[in-house]
Amino acid sequence: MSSSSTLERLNENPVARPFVAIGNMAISGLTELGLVVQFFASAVALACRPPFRVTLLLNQMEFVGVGSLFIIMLTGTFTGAVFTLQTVNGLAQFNLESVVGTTVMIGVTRELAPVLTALMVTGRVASAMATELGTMRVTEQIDAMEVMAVNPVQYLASPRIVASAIMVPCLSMLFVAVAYAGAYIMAVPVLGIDEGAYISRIQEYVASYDVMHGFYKSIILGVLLATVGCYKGYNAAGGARGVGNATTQAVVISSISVFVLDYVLSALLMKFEPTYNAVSY
Amino acid sequence: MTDTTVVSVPDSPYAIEVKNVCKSFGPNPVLKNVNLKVRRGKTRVILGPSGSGKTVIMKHMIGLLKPDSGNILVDGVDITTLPHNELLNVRRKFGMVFQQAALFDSMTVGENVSFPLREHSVLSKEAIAEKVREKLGVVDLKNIEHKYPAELSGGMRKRVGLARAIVLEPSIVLYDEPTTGLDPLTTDSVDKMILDASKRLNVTSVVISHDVGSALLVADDIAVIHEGVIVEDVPAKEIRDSTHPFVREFLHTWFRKQ
Amino acid sequence: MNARTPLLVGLVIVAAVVSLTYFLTQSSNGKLDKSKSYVLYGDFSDAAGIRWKTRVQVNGLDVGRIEGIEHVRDSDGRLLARVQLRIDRKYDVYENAFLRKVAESLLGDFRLDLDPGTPGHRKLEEGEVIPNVQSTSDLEAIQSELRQVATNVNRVTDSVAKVLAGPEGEGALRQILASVERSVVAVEQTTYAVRETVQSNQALVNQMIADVHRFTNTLSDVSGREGEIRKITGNLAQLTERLNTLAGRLAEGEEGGEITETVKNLRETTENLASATRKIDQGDGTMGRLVNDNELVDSVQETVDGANTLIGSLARLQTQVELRTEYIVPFNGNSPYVDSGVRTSLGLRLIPRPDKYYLLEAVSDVRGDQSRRQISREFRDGRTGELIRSETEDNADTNFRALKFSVQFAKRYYFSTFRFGIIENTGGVGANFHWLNDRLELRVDAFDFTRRVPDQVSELVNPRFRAFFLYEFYDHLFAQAGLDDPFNADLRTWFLGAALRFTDEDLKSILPFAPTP
Repeated sequence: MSSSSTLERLNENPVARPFVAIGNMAISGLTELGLVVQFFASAVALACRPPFRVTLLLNQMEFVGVGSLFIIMLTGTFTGAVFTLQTVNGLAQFNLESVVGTTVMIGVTRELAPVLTALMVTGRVASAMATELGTMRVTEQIDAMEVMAVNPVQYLASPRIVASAIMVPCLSMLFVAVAYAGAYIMAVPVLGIDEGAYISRIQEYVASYDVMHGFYKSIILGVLLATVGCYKGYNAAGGARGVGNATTQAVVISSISVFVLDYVLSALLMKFEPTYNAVSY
Repeated sequence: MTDTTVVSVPDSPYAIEVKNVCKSFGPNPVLKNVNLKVRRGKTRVILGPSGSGKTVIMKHMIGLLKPDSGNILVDGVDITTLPHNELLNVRRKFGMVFQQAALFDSMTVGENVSFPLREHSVLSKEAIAEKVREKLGVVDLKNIEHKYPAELSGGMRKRVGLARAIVLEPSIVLYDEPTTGLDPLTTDSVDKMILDASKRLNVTSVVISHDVGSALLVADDIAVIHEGVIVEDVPAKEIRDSTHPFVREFLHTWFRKQ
Repeated sequence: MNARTPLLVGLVIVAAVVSLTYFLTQSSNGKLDKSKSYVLYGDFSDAAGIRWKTRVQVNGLDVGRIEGIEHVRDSDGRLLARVQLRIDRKYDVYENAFLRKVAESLLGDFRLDLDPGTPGHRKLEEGEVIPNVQSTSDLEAIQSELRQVATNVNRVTDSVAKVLAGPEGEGALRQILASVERSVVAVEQTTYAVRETVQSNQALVNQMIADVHRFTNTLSDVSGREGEIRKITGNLAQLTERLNTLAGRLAEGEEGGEITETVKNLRETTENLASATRKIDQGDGTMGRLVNDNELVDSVQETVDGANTLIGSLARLQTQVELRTEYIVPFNGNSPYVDSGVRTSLGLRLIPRPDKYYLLEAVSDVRGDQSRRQISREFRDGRTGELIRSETEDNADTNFRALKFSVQFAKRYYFSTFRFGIIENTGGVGANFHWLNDRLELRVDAFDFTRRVPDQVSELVNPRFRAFFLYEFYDHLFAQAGLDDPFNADLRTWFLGAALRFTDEDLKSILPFAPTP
């Protein structure tokens, strides 16, 4: 065991110790990332293999989609309205109030709808998934499933991830719709911006690329949050406290990942959009 | 999903054979060269204090864990080298009763018991309901199909757990700490349940326990495990005569309490 | 599962799909799909403010959008911003169309204003460049003019301020006024004198003007010719000099004697001129013939016209030369058919439009040609004449170093160019794929479809394929590598080489089909 003695010596060396700690952190972080990817890959592979658990999928779709409908509607409406209210002030300095709809809708379709939807769903759904699966893990329900020759990843994770991949983009699109309504109400009746200019500016400048950009992102973000939630719950250990930790970590990690992945996806998708002459990332 | 390709080797007198199994978690060795045989149709109790590695042995038997070295034979078939899908077939020979029953708390008792049937058979709804009723009858429960596990007492949950474990009519039933954390009366009823089940269903049973009293009651053979090593392996009647110091101490502590 | 679950889930999905389709169809670029529009280009020297999706308007109504902007080089190698416009098919654009950048707001948003031209002219087709483009917008022009005006005003006010500053400024101003007053009086006197002179010589001047008029008319007809003209212009220079002096004296108020003399001289000169032009009119001398021979003039005109058309099409036509040389190595070192060696090709591309060209190519190939000869021998008994045995021998002569020719037509779609025609003396097709702004090219050829094994005349072998990559690592210089004839084991080779490609304008003038002007 010369390696372990080397390790011990390194740990005692005050100069080497911080580097050892950083190295360990990096290794465990990458290992965890690899495990999440592996978990996701097996969940997807199993989702494509019989038995197809349609009922479970529908239940999860109801939980993710129908259950989150209300908070998404609420968030969407207020986002549209508040964003409009704040933007108008800036644009009024250039007499450009009529482009407020464009600004808001490009912001909503490309960024706010997918990201805020993903964050709301993370708070509601990823935490619930982590808790549910975590409880099942610590009370040996997952082991029981495995003993009964039922693949728990296929039974528990696959329907959740697939449901999220379907429902999060749906919610994101509904977010766009209600944000549009919220922005319209704020802009036209409340702030008195000319309706014709407002709508025609949106039609002129908001492109299908913008809508699709957000749509694609929301699919990936939906997959992400469900994967993190399931993974954390599935690998929970240590009783009630472990479940609590898993839930917290699921929410924190998937929220951060939503932002990071959102940036990566935006940069990536822009490469495929005909944004000539635009800022490059 | 009824293609049960049961590979049985009738001339082997043992349902399970654990041969020279070693297992470590990280740097900690948990099992050190364990050898254990489970006779067909008999009840084998693995006795040991917490953290002695008995649950790890059980998880090896059912293929949830793979040994670092050594083999595990179930009905003469080495399961350590089986591919995953064949391992699933082997698992159908097993029923397992978990320490806290591990009932799915999102499902009713009926759904819990019928879960393996719904997953692995093509029986009609009526046939499934009939089978559930029958198995619940085996564990002396009636008309509780529509209750949720949270509404049941610990002993009842364990019975439902057994009903779920035997619903596919396995040849081996594993019990993980069946009497831990139960009051004496319930302990008694669970012991009775184990005895009844092995008698009525004619199954091989493996019981993991640190409860010497129920071990003496239900066992045909007893193995005592201490720090990953089997220190004693004798028929149940001979356990009291053991000369091994740890076994003596372990039993002595229990008898003193009585 | 709750009985309502499928219903609720379905409702959410349907609502989402409705929302998605609504926003997709609402958005602007849904309205201009590719089948209902076409692409034109405009080359701007300044495309600032023009962006993807910028609107193109006719009379203030949208007819299209900008699809993209990229740099291109014009024939002088100057960089220009080539703007790609997608125009609604309902609007035809003609050759006399005019495209300009118009400011939409003070924030630097621009749109393109298109005057589509008039139907009398040639209609521009997909992919053509709108010839008339104005890069600077009105607003920009106004802004720069305003800037200039402001500078000027500044300068004037500065100097006025300098002049007026202090007590001496007032004195200076008074002085200026006095001298201005004096000047005005002098001018008045001068104009009076001039008027007098002119009136007294009215007739003479009139005639003079008429003569000069006629002269210049004739002159304009024969401009460019030397000889007599040099003399005439010499006289004319003298004449104007004297006129100048005359005017000077008039201004100084001298008496008219000199003037009369000058005018007399002038008259003489114009008379000379008149006689010269008369001679020309009558057709005397070379110039006269040139001027009066209508047929000659017509033919010259025709020539010029022809040259114009030719120059027009030549201006569009680009000629490119491509020189490739590569070292060939057979996979099978012992192959009886191919040897390693050098292949060189010289190609000429005639490019009438950016998206198509004709390719003429000559290849000097180490692989050469195989000609086949079949020799039959019969062995007969000397006495009976009975056939003992016969044998046939296939004799392959491999003629190393053959010169082969390719003539192909090529048309480009997006990143791929498809070619067909004759490839190395046989029929064939090919394709080029371009990536990385055309710096990387994959060329694939398939030809010689009915090929036979050199020494087994009866047996067909696989057609010849060739695939290779060309990478432009430096302007005009390419590295290349590829596979030749991969489907025939004994003929399979790989090769490495270099290529040079450049646009040669001089070639245009020596093209065999271009009539020399």
